[in-house]
Amino acid sequence: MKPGNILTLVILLGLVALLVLVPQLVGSRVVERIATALAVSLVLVVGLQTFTGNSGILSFAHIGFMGIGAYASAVLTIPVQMRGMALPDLYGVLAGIQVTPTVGIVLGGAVAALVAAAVAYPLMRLSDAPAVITSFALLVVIYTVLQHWSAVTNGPRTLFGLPKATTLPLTAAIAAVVIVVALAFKESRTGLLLRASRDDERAAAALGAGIPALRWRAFILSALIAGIGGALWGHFVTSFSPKAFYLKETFVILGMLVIGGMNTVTGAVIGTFLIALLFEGLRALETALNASGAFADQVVGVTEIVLALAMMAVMFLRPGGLFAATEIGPLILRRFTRRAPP
Amino acid sequence: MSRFSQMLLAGAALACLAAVPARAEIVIGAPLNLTGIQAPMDEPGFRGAQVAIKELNDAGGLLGEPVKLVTIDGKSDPVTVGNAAVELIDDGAQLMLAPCDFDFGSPASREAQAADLVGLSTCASDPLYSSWSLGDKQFTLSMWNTTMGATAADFALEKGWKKAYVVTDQFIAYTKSLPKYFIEQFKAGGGEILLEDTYNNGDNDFSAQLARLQALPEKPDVIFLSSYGTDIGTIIRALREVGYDAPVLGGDAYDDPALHQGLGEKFGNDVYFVTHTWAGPDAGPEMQHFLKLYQEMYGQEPDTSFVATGYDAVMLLAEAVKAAGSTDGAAVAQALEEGEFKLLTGELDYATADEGHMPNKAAAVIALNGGKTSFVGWRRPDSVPAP
Repeated sequence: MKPGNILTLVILLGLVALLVLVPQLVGSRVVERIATALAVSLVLVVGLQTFTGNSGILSFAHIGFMGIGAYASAVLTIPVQMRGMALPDLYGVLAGIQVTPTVGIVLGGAVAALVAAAVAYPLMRLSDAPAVITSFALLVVIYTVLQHWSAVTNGPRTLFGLPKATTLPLTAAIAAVVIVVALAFKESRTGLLLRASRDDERAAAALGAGIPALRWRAFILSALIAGIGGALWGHFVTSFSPKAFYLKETFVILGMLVIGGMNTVTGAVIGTFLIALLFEGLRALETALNASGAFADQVVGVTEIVLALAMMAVMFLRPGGLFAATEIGPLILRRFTRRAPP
Repeated sequence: MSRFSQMLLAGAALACLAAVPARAEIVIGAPLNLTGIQAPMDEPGFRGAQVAIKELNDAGGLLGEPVKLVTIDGKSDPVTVGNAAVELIDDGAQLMLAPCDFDFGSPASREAQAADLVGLSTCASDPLYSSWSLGDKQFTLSMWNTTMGATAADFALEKGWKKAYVVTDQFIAYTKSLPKYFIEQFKAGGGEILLEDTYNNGDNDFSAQLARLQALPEKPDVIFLSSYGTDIGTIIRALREVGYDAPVLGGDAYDDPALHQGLGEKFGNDVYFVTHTWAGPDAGPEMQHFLKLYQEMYGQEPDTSFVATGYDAVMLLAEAVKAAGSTDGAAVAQALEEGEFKLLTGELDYATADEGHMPNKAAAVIALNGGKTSFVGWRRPDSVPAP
């Protein structure tokens, strides 16, 4: 492994470690909740990066797989005695099965990956705009199925009763593993070939890269991580309905990735931290303004407006995101070596 | 790297700033959604709640202490609502005003329950909002959809309408569950369903359903139409244009002045709906009192009747606190279970925690004729279908 990659790994995992340590030092329940939500977002954004970053194709379907993971884990982990109320029409075979949340989270990822493997192969032949639109169409299909498959998802109604299992250490540990996997995948043979196809599709194909198969593998990996992230989210909020896995969440996750820089794992991690902390910082500011009574009326919307302007500014100044092409490790090493006299 | 640690520090510092030391006052925490898709439901409630707070404080507060409503925007995001609820509880909230709708209100109620506080949703009407799913100190101010559907069915039978045609919009849980409860109650009362049909919100085309309706051997006495938004108007117009002048019956989605104006004199006839309150000129003295206070505070008439839910929610909590003599969660919950309350949104009597805190609540029936609404009366069904 190159020293640059090791440094990248150390820095990114250090950030995840900070995420666990800071709430412990502050000792506030809110900070811990914020950190947990941030760690879940990390899993989702880095998961999206494994496909979108390496293949260059924006995938809107990611949140759909997050939903599949959340529902799969929910169906398997809601306590059997609560199922009669939460999912009265659940099929007999499934009704008796109950696993622990940790197993449920893993199975949630597995189900999402299986669905991705089954439906995605034909879509992987498409590039550019057609690929983006088909991924969006796939999101619509998944959303509609979640909303109408009443026996398993409780239809458009809220599904509740998931055991609360998403703790900060568990989520941070999974996020750390996902970061390692994403970096390893990027440097793997598949990742390298895929990145070659991203930068020049024709040249890569001419050199023998089987592009659909490469993209397919990345898509399955990405869906696996999305499913795990969705299940973690589900066990964090403990009740949700299909509308949680649609456009709003899609744009939050895409925003984090694009701001950070979708071609690098560093970008995915930094983008997530930046947007999440900016959101929480502004929210705290809004709360402080209201608590201080400086304004006669309740202050609302500051968070949304400032966040949106900040995103515009980043895109304007750095169109490729904060880390457009190079991971943070090599970036630091390069600057270090440049400064040293020859 | 340094920028990010700065961010982290800034965030932490701001979070600390937000913490306000507790004083001798009763704090109601309200993680309502003032921005995002839920704002049209929660923001009017927030305005009504402030009217109630002012009235309470002008009358000397509660248990001799001033009442304070602290709101942190939940941003129509379940995780943020939960975060805001935790912040409010950690800053000393003794009572929790939870947002509308189970998805957005339950995170707040769940945190309130975990801290042994009473939580009250301003207008969640899904029967899921119960002590069964949320805990023994959680309530919703709204009647459940079971009551809404049952009241509509009872009203139809009371009018002597025995044969119904039912349209279910597949849009959301609300539009899907309401007809279910209507049909159950209507059949139990001796009514007959001629045809059940479906519609998809946004189709703006009712011709296929009309063809099926016209193929029936007999005409229905009443049309129960569960849809949402402008589609209600579209469907009523389509029915009337082909000569179906049977009364149309619906739920609180019809309680929208824009819909009444849109139907106008020509189509806005013989329409009845079950909703939460009546704020017209002939409303009772309590409503007139509230409207006067609202006018004083905001300088204009309320634009929606949802403002009454926020006022009622605060007043209900205040009455329970008075009866309990403290803000202790268990005592207030017991007071809510035992009391009988007369509110702007109807008389209310909660079932026990074992019975889900089902709100046994009166519903307002409103008629639309000549494009103008008029109050038919309060109705309280003797029995309601199981959720």
